[in-house]
Amino acid sequence: MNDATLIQRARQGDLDAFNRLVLAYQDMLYNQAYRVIGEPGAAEDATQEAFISAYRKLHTYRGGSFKGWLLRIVTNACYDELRQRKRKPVAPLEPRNEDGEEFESPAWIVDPGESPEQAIQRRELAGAIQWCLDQLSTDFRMVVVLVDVQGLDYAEASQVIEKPLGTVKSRLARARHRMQDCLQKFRELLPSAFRLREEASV
Amino acid sequence: MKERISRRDWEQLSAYMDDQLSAREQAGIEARLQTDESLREALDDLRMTRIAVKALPHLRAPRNFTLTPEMAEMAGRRQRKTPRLFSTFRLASVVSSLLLVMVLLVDLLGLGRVAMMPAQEMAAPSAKILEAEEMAAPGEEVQPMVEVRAEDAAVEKEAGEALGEEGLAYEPAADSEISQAAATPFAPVRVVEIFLGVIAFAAGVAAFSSRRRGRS
Repeated sequence: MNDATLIQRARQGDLDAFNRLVLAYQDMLYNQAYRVIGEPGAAEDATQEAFISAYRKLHTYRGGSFKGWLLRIVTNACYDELRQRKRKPVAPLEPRNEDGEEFESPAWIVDPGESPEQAIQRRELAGAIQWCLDQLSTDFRMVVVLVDVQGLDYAEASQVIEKPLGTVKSRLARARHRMQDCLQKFRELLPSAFRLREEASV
Repeated sequence: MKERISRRDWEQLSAYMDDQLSAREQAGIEARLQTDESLREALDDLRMTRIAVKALPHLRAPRNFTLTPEMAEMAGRRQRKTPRLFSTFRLASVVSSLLLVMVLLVDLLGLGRVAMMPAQEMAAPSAKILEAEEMAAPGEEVQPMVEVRAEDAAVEKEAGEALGEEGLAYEPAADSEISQAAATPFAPVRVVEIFLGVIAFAAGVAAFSSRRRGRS
């Protein structure tokens, strides 16, 4: 059964049809929430809240990209979650990996004799990138996650954040530039090509 | 070297990387890339940053987010409640704003001067009438109000002539008393204006927040 049929049935009150849509899109929404909020528990809350909102507002969906429509809802849920967290800050002081554990980064602990396994290095790199994402302002982070993580084009991202195309273009460029600066703190974790470029420029 | 790359160049490079430039812009940036080494380096660095971000692992949802019948019922109740709250607050905000504008117009056009005058001044003319009634000899007819006013005006004119230039200052002085009364923070019209302003603002904020809650 395709999305359009499931949406039609869900609109008529078929909860099972809606839940099939939830299962199809929950990974995408959770990813968006996690990359924007940076904390697993809060990302779960935002994802659940987004699906409740989606069910409530299904009658307002007017066709087009259902993925984009859901991303807009989870984006609003993320903003709400971040506003709540701003009132009660719980941000960790040091970078953490996706399991919420602190990770050992060369920026903190330098041990030239140690050669970590590739799997651990990948996790650390992911943690470092997430930490750099967290350093961006929410508006910048939102755009970079929509385009570079979710793979949306500028027009789709513009519809999701409800801002003009020029705003998406400008925020994305600035976000990438800041990410680039931030990632230099984790040079040892970056792919070798990245390191070579930096070493050549020193 | 990259320090001299402007913000606009970063924007162009970022959009170029995503094939989001027009044909003309693309040709322009490609021509510059041929000759400008720092621009090429900046583009390489942006590409690597994008690769790093894209390489983030795709996470699986830690649990299912399917809705239970209770959650669906709760969502339905919120859907019914939110628009009602929003329209109520919006109506309250619009009505109080309109009333505020009307009161401000009346105030500015001076139509509300009488209303703005303190109670003491409002009572003064009626006290004058009573005084005139008391002073009138039995059997005499009480002078009509218009005549009392005409007499007052004559007295004022005489006083004005006697005072010369000072007399000219009399009327502005009276006006300034009225405007002072109007400026008094506790004048009834001011209280009404403040009250309406607060209501309009509070209802507007409540409508906005109920709308936002409804959106999320």
